[in-house]
Amino acid sequence: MKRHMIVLLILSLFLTGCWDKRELNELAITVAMGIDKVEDEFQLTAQVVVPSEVSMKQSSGRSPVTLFQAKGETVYEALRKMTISSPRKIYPGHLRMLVIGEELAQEGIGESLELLSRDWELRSDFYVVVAKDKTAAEILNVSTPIESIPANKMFNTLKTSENSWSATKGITLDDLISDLISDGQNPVLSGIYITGNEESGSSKQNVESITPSAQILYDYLAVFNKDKLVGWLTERESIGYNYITNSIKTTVTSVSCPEKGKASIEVIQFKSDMKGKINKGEPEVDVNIQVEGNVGSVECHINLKEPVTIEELEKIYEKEVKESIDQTIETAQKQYKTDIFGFGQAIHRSNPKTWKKIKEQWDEKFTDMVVNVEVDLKLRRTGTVNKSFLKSLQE
Amino acid sequence: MMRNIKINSNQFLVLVIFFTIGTSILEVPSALADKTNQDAWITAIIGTGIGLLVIWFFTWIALWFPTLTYIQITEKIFGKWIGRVASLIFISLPLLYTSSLLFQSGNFLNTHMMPYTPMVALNILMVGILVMGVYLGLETIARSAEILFAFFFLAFFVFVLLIAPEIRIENVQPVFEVNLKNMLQSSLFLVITSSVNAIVILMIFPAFLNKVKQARRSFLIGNLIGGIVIIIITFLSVSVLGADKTANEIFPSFELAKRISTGDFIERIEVLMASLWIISLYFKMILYFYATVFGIAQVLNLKDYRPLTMPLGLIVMVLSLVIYPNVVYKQDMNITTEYSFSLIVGIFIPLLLALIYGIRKKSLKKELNSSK
Amino acid sequence: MLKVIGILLVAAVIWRVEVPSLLQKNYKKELVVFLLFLSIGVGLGIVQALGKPIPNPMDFLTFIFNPLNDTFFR
Repeated sequence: MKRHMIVLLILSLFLTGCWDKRELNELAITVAMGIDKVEDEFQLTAQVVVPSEVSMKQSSGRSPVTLFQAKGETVYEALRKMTISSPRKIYPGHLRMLVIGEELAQEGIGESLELLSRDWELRSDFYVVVAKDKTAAEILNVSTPIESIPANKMFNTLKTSENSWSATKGITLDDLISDLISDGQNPVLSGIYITGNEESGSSKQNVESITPSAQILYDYLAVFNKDKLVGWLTERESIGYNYITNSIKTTVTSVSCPEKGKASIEVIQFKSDMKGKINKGEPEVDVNIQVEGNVGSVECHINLKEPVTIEELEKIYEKEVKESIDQTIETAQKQYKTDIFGFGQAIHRSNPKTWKKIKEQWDEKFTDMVVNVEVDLKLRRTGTVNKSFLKSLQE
Repeated sequence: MMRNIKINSNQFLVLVIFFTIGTSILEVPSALADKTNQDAWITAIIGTGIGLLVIWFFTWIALWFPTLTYIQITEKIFGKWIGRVASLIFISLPLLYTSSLLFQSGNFLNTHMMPYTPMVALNILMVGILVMGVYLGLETIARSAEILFAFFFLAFFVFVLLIAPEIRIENVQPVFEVNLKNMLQSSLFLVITSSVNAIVILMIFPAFLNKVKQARRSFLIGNLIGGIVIIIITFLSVSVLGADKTANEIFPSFELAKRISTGDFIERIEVLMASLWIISLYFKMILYFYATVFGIAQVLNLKDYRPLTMPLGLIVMVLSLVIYPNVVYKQDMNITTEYSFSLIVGIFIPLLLALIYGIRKKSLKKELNSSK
Repeated sequence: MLKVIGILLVAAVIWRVEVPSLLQKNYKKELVVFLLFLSIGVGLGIVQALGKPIPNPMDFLTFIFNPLNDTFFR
């Protein structure tokens, strides 16, 4: 008898694992969240998967996701309050996207991120983006083709465009927070916006036509000063930003031919190196960019059988890319006055002592510091053909 | 000095065929069609003919001393010191061309299949099997060539059969539009890549062959068969793709394989066909590499060549990454500097050799007899 | 840096494979030549891995053969 009791007691020990049990059918799996500021309150929007619609076997044609919304004085309050409309508890463990409304971003994103960095259920591998000209709720309210869950579409679009076009940048919560707290580096975030008729965007009919009437698109980078949105970069500047910060994987850049016309260079290998130094007491940064590329297309009349042509193209590319990088730096220095590139950190790494002295006035120092940009392109291949057929077209 | 390695004349035949086809299968159609347009295939025939003469010349030299390699012959005829200098110049050719071919294999895969894989990664794999082959020795190379030969010709036969329906005979008309002088000039590319560079084969012929007389026939027949393959490929390229497209493509025969579409069923098999060029490229490369390693060992009078294989593999690997900064440069080098280099090493020095041999014939014979 | 370590590792493996048997057979000359080529290979490899330019032998040949190239092949 005594033996049996002991066995029972030991077995019951395993039950402690069930204390915090939550079954799948008690959870509202949230894939995207939006935070806006409405009348001094945080408005939280959660995009939640409807499990019966994403299962392969039986779907009744309803939308695969649904939105819940709640307001509160803090984000956490709003999150819990959501249960007044949601039948299940919001579970953010599978979060892919966090969308921040533009208005909130202008006021500062720090407070709203605090909960997200503290909450144990969240993994920090989701992307953070800023809704351009819109509230976050409006962005989350658009249905999308191909990926039936809009959050997945946003996630994958950002990932793909970051890898193969490089005018956007996928920034996770971790990256964002480390940019926010570190001296000498201010964050950027990708922007997201809607084109077309957003009224019909939320219904399922939106994805039933070949061209959806409302579409979610990425815009270029949003520039922050500390945690406040101060402006937007253009497309060219966004690419320039990614050039400087070594965040290009592959991209295509068009360059002008020696005579009229355009050619495009496909970047296949990319490396950019940032080194800080102190020159006569003033901080300086060298940016050294090494690119390997192929000739992607030739829309002009050049003779690709001559090695000289390749050298010429390399020179033009180097010059044009350097120009657009210089332009980006100037925009950051003169227009927005915020060090989004992490030049301050580069100085910090190379000259820690001087950095301590200039740290306080870094914002002023940054605006008129010297940045030496060097671009080195090596063209390797010309695709599957050498001479362009346009050449014979001309003759 | 070395173990007694012997390969038979059939194995030698296969090696010569692979050497002749080598890179030519990928590049010759484009190079020939550039100047001679639709007559490229006639140029290929002319090139093969001249190539056979060159090979005959090589065998003639080699058979003066049927037990010696080319390096030993050079030293015998030129004397020790001038001979060594000539030998070093000779060895630099296969050394350079091993890296060149290594670049080609990486470049081919980079262009058509794996654009974002760094070439280093592709080349490391290739160098791996290259070093392995040379390390295992000539017999192993010859036997594996024999085995892969069957596959090669089966695939080639299927390839020709499948692409044949796409032939547009209008593409090769009018025949003989280009004058003979242009043809001779263009055919130089084929003569050099397939035949003049075959001087490196004199490192195994006739010293490592068991029946020298038969081997001489194998050398000539191998070159002829290889040449025929090139002629067929060139003809197919021009007649299927058209002369201009052939000239513009970097790898016309791969483009050719993309055109295969039989009954909407057998199509998209170009990657399978790519194994054709990889095999022939590999054996050409390995013959170059073997000549390099073995040649260095012989010039320095080493007892074993194998310790040098891996260090030279490393050198060749690095060279393959630096010798051609880009493909345009490569194509330019192919028809200028490499022409000169091949002609100096493959024609000029052997001619000099023949001249001096003629003068010193008697004393050399006496020396040979007295040493016996 | 990782690449340099990789090359040194490869060199170490080559060393491990070749040197003991060379010593055993008492092949002195072979050992010297082996070491010479190994160090050339490792040296070139490291320079390449660090991204420094290596003189191109093809440029050297082009320099030598330029007169020949110009008269015949251009």
